[in-house]
Amino acid sequence: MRRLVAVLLGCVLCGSVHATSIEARLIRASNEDGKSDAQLAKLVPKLKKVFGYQLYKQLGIQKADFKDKRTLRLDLGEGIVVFVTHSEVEDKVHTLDFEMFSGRAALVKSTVHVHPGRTMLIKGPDVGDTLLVISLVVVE
Amino acid sequence: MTEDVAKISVNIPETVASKSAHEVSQAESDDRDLVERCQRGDLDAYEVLVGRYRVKVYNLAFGILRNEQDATDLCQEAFVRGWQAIHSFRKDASFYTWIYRITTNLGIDFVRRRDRRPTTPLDEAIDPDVDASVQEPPSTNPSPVDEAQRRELREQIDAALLQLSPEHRVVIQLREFDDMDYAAIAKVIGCSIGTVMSRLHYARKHLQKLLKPVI
Amino acid sequence: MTHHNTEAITGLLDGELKGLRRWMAQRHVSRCTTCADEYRRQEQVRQLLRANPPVSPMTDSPEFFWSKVKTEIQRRGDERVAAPTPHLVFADWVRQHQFAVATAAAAFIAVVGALWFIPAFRGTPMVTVTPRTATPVARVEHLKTLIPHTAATAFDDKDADVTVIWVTGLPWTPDMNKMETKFANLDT
Repeated sequence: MRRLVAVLLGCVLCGSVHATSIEARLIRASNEDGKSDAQLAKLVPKLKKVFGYQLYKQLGIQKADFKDKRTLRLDLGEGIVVFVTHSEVEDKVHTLDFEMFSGRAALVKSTVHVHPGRTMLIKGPDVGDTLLVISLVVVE
Repeated sequence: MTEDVAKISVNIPETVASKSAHEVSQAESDDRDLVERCQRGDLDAYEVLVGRYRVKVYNLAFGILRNEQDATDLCQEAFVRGWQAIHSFRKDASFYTWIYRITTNLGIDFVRRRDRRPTTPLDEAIDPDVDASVQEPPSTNPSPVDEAQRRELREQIDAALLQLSPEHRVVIQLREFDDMDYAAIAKVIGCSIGTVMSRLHYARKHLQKLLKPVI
Repeated sequence: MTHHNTEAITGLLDGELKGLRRWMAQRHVSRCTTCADEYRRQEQVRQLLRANPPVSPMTDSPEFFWSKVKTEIQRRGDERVAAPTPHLVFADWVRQHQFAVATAAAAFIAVVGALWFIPAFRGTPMVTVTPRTATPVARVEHLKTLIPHTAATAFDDKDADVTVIWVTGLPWTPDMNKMETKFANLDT
């Protein structure tokens, strides 16, 4: 009985705590004909303003909850991997350390202080008329 | 018909206004009532209109055709056509201008089909039984010599007018003898005011050349 | 009349020129002998015609004339013809009513101009639209790249409401995958 109560209490407590998570997407930008992916509907206007391409396709998406200060590995496909470590949160500002790899090559590394919901876009490699973009959003 | 004669180069005539606006609108209002009755089939109302404009229409017809019998026929035809077309008469228009337009169109067509010279001598045209609205030159107790000279002058003028094209003859008739302003003439002959002025100008220039011996 | 517009002499003689045109024609005629002569000649023709109108009175009495017209009308029965209503050409109509047209046009422009300043008439809503609150900008630190001839910079795009990390010079060659990392332990 006491175990049952402990488990139930644990569930309630866990449920009441809103877990912070990270959402990462790998996006391919080009000027080809066609329609952008529906999953990117909210993001496409921002992407067009920043990068100017007309067509956006989602190549991969990863969502993961931050657990303590463990580093999350987000494999987005096409050899692109993002490592994210959530270090702290203060006044709703989350501090993240992230690194982006293409295969075994490290492309870029940084520390960001970001509010939940604020989209971050990382311009990746470009080949001809195609560009890879990575978007990161902290979700509470 | 009286007029204010303009002095050469010093006294330019004032802007034309032949009748008062009230007089014109009253006459047109009467005409409109009669036309409405005509449109309902009232021939008696049309008789009033014919009586009112018979002489003016005849004078216009004569001015175009320069022949009494042809002018009478044209006048009659104009009024018959007027009755036949009365259903298409717009109430905001002037009956006077409208019947004049019918007469002008018929007259020009007539001249184009048959180009005739006047055959009626002037002395035969004067008939004591004719109504008082006849146009007579302003002269009192002329001597036989004066009368003969006047007759000769009129013949020369008639001959000169016959030399004009029907279109030029119409504008001369409407301006000089009917005392219409350019806007009214433009409505009657269906052209712009500029065209009226141009036709009048060349008609007078042509007459100037033809009447040089008598001017 | 700076040139000899002799047609205008006809208008002047007949009292049909108005306003500035009349003044200019009058002035020219008083100074130009050619045009003054032309004016005189036309005036003579006019006087001659008016003094000698065509004398050919109608021989038919009013009653006789009407009887002929009525007979012909009755003979033709219900036959109908069309006769266009006399009217001025549009340009002449405007000129004849230029004051009224100008007044109406001025009034229309004044009304439209006044209404332009009333937002309701411009189709803009009366309610004030609150601008969308942008999410606070992110702060980027310790940004670096390690591949030679590449660089990275961070900025906020206020229009798009995003933070951008812009990396330049990234090659995309198959060799990239073989390049060794220097930052992280990929085995973890």
